[in-house]
Amino acid sequence: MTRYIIRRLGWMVLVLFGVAAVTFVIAFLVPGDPARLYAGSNASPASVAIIHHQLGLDRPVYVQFADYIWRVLHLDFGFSYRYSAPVLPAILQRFPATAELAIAGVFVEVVVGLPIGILAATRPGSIWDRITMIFTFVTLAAPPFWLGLIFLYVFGALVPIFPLGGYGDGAPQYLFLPALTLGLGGAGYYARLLRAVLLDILPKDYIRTARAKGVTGRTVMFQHALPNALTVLITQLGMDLGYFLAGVVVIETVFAWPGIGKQAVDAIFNLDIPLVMGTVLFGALLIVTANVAVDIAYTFIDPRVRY
Amino acid sequence: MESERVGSGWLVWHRFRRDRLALVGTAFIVLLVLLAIFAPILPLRDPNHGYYELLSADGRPIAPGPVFWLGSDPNGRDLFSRLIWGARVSLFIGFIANGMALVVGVIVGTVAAYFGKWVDMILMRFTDVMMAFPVLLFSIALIAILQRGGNVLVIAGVIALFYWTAVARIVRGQVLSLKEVEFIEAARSSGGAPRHILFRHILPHLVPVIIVYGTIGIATSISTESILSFIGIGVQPPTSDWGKMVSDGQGYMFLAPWLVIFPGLMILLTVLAFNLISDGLRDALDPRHRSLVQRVVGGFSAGGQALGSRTRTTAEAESA
Amino acid sequence: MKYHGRVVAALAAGVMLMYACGNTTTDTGGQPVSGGTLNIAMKDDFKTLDPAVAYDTDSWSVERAIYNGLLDYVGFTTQLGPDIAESMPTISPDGKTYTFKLKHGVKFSNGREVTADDFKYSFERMLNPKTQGPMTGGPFWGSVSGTADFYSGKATGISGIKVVDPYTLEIDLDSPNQSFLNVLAMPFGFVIPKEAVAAAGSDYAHHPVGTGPFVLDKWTPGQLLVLKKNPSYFGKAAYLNEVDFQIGVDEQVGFLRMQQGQADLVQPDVNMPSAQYIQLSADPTFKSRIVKTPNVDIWYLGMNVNMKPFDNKLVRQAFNMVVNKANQIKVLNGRGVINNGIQAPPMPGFVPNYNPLGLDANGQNITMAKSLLTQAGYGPGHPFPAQDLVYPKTNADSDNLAAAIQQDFQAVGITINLKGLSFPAFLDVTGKPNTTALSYDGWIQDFPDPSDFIDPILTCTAANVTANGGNVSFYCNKQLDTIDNQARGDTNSADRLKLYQQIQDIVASQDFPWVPMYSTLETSVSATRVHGYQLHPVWPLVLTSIWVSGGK
Repeated sequence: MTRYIIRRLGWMVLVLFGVAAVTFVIAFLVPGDPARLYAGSNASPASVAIIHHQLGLDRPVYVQFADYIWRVLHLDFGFSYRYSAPVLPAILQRFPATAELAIAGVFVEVVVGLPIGILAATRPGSIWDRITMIFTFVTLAAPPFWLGLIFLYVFGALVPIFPLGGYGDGAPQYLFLPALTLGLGGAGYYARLLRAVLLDILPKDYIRTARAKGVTGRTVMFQHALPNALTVLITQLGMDLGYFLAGVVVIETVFAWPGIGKQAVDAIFNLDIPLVMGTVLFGALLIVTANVAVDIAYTFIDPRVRY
Repeated sequence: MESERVGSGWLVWHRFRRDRLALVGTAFIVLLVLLAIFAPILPLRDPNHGYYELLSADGRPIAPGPVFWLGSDPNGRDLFSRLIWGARVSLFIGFIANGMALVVGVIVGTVAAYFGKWVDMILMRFTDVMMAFPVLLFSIALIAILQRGGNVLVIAGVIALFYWTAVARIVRGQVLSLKEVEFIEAARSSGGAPRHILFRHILPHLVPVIIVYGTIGIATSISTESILSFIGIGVQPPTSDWGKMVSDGQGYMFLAPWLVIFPGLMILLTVLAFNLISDGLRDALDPRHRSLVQRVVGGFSAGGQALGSRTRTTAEAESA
Repeated sequence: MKYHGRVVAALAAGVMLMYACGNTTTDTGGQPVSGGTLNIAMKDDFKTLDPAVAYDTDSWSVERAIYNGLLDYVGFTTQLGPDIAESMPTISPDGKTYTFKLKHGVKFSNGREVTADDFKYSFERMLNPKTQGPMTGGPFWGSVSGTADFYSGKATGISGIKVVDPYTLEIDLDSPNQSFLNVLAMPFGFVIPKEAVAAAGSDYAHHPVGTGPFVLDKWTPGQLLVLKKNPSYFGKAAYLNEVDFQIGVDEQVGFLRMQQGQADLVQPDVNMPSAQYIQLSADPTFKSRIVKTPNVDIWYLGMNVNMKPFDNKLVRQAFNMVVNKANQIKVLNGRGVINNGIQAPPMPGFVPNYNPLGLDANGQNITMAKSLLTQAGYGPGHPFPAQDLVYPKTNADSDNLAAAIQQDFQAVGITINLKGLSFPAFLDVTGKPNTTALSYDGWIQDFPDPSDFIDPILTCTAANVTANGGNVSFYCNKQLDTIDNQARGDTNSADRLKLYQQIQDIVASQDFPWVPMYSTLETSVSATRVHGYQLHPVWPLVLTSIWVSGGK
């Protein structure tokens, strides 16, 4: 087990190095002189030249790369042109909002998705099964930006129950619509996944044995089948959380949610490449961490791995 | 062998056509493809021509009615025409991006699994790196940095750049399990050339997976393309594009709700149709290995990890 | 966010009162009451509140409330008056020495009194290349004696900025400049305390300290910026106790909030988006609350005279006859007027109904355009090469305006491809020589003087740059420059305006570096509890006249 964990951590370091290398290459593809972007659109050529040197852009590429890796290791993700401030603090400042939304989104996935999946699996082929499965198909196919806009206008403007976007210092009514929009697609997915896994498990021997012993259908479901199905789901949910934390670009844009995804998109339009690539790097770190965490957690959860 | 394949094709169709939802989906896509292909010769208005003379002095979009069936946008352009022409962009990018991803994914997955050892190691670590990125954010950044927002091939390429990893992992898992199968073992031990074994014995068995993933991949690519356009870095105006149309129309939600509702519905229906087809195909192609592709669903992954994320568990399970 | 032009020049400001008729006031009825909070929805976070650096209307909206300079515009006019200066400066007969007396007892919000030293410090800091502000090396302050040595590092201070005594500041120019007082009234001339800069370290941008009617209370980047009334303000106190800028609110959401009473103003420094303008114009509650004033701006197609095919004057002339300017205005919901010249309607010396090419009511002459193209050698055997139209995607209308241009050129058989860019990218590619042939440009005043529409965008100096140029056509005519230099020092305002009209003729009826199209009408709207909200001819937002009923 310890060896496994060490191996996964080694993998993590390797992948993150690869990620940093790719972001560095992309940053080099930026058309134009980063010094000019840094100096701002009104700067004189003289100050651009000074900054060019200050940023070390006149050094050989491999030196710059080594320097880049060195700085990333010291949690220096670069310097934002637009905010004239280091990138990482700017990201961390926005991160709580994203984290709040990400957790709420995963919560919606579970709270909406699991009951639907169980409902469908307990009565396969029934009208409930069909209705819920069509519902999940629709939520999966609905463009999230479109769904968000419709929610915003229906529940924010026509029937003003919820605020029209924004963060509201984290007040729950501001969180509701973005979290719903974020979680609904995943909820459909988890409903389908759970239904499939349950239908796979239910005919299995031990369930049959339980039934034969006179255990009721509901007990079979909640005490035997569901715990088994959940191990599959938990890994996926962990991954989802990682992806959400890495930046919920669309939902944050539609709902004016001040998270790292919206900040990064704004940065792109301001050509603030260090902030964008810093967010990409930060997001990759979260995704990889979630990945490894899930793998390690899995060894504890899955009875088959425990042996 | 030959007759068996014909037989299985017939069997697949036989199973597929019993799935009514899948048939509806197929009918929708066939209709959409036909409309998209023949849009230039259909009696439609030029989607990019602004009928400014029909607009009032304050430039208010024209409501659906006898002149414009589905209304006009603030430039006096026919929304109905733009929706049909928008299908060309969406389907084109969907097919191209997905095609690129499949080619790369199948090659990488097959090569990695078949040759194993360090080849596998390098290719899979590279795949891991590509899968570690926050895909949507990175795609947006990449297109913006390349400053080629208008180029459909660049957009398709960027979408494919991240989607192939999912395909590669699944294909790798498949090939790994196929390698253990007796007849391939036999072919190898009797000294068959790798190319022969790959093309004769392995690739044909990948066809069902490729077909199913292909259909899902189109849905995913179309979803992603609409997000990129919504964010504002997709195809350039005046080209009509569904995601861009929703984005342009959002300010007019009260004044001209048709500008948001119809393009969004087109995306929803198209993605839905492809998902229904892939669902039907999966059941028809692979009734015994349902669990293999069961857990993969195309369309919008809500969080922004639009591509690949949903396939992980399956792929991991298969390759582990 | 709206961006200003990059360079300035000017005119003795006293002659400009033409705005008086343009302003519309909302709901000044009733007696103003003090107190309450004003909520303003803003799309983007503020870049910086460092007056040496900020050059956009978002930042200026806040800076105007927390800082003061020597001079300011009087009320809602374009007339300059003293601000921290006790009176207008005395100017030496040769027009090169300005002497300012400062008011006594003007205090920074940290409690310290403002002296002439603070102005010297602020100006030198603002012009110091290390501050990386946009004024460094530019023409606005270039006429101040000693700036060249200061920029090159030969001098540690600017010799032309002299502290005579704590309440007397003298500024020497190398040559007379009729627009220098306007330059001083720009936010770059705001005074800041040295100790606040030292205390903030490298982040003064987020920790501003000034003398204004408001002070920065809180700034949560990306979310909220709060201004509080400055109790020790030296001028007339503001009515409002607090101003909250809610950041990250897209305009359409902002306007919905306004209708629900959750926001009082929405992005007041830019024109209302089309959809909201149409909708609220028809709304019984809000239609009377929409305020309008002609913008001091000009929108045009820039044709790079050094690049094919626009190096051919016939082509440029033909292009001048193709654009349906009426359709452009229709896309802007009628908020604009056709403009065939280079000056905006509110500008002194503006020539009404200027039409040197005899264009029709839409601003076109297609037949003539075709024959000019034939003369230029284009025809069936030699089709006109397809052109990229580069334009900034600044709002929802940008794409629509560009698409209308594309359609216009189809009519004369010319293919135009649209290339929309983010605003910084747009500035980048249009400001470099030989990079962009055709672009959709706008120029918005730094201050209302005709020179501001010529010096930065039509002169040889502006064309002779390697980057960041404002002269997107890279147009250079020595004759024009001579007239412009003559006008700069001309103290007779009538003669001076005539010279600027001559320049307009050279551009619009002789050389054709632009296709002038239109000037816009600024519109804005406020929630029903807001009173006294007015559009200022120069400032993007004035908070001191606003009061709210039933303030929280």
